[in-house]
Amino acid sequence: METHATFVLFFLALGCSVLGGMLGMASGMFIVPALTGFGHMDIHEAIGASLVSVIACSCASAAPYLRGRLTNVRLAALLEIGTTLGALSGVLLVGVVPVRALYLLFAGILLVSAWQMFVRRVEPAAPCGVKPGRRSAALHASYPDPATGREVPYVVGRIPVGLLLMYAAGLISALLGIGSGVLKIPAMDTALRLPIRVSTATSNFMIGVTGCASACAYFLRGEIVTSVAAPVALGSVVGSIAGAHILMRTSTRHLRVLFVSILVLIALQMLLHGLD
Amino acid sequence: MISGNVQKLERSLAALLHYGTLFASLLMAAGVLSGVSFHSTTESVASILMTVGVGFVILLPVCRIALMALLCAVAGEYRFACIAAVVLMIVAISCAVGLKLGVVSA
Repeated sequence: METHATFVLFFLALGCSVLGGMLGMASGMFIVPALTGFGHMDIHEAIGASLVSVIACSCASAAPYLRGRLTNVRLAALLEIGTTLGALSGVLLVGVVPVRALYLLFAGILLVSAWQMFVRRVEPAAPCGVKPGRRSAALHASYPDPATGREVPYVVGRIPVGLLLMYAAGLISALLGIGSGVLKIPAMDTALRLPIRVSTATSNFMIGVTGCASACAYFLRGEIVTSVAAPVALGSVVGSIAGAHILMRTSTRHLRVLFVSILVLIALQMLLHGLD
Repeated sequence: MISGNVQKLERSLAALLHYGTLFASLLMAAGVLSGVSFHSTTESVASILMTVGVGFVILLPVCRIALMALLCAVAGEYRFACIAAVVLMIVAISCAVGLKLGVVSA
């Protein structure tokens, strides 16, 4: 690959990842449209490169959450059964689903993300009807509140619904090369009723395994172009770290409308590709 | 799982993911920088470094699940060890299915 193309890929991924990091999102949502739109890459090659960057970003950002005891590791292991089964279904469907349908699906996911960004996340109410001694009790945990320093206990509810939504998230991840946080986080907020910090950390922790279930298949059959995936993954890791730092130092309130507009514009671009 | 074991598991997983990502990123960075040096002899080295780096990134979550299964089994948490083993098995089936289906890119 030519030198300038490598640098273009690195900075393209860096930009996408800074944007994603500032929004608290994985960069896959921006990388696939950028690679297909600006790089004129085949969508399957773009998905392969995006999956590698999504896994790298998930692994890079998982460690601080684990050290901060925000990740529910046991719940993640259980829900990963759903996400990996979804990814397996996605691997089976990837050659069957027409490219135009992939663009249309991507546009739909982007619009859902824009809506989620528009209506802010609210702390879910504690689940009702979860009795001590039930099987899910092993999944209940607590996390340290950084503001007060106190342990905040929480219970995990409605696991079957959560597993079903995780299956859908895994399927979408394998088909589109994204982390599917767009489905995982609402599943955790709404179905499992986890505190926002815990659902963000646990969702991020699971993204790596979800992506890996399909990326392994792409990699083993030589569909991941490493000269593309390596600069994209590197740019994404650097960008996600920079984006997270910017997120902590700036108020996203004023940027929210701008980011929603960007997501809608990318969705329209993907929609036009799909209808072309 | 008792609290001490959970914290040990979390610390071990954090260390694996932190150092694993660092190592893979260094490999990929070495590959990218070798690739832009314009020497044909270093191009093959660059390609190998990038392939190994990307492969390592993809393998990192697999290593994470394997470590979870191992640490849960050692701690006597056989239910979670089995869950992690099931996830590993699904990933392996996904690889096998993906290989069997072949290339789909245009």
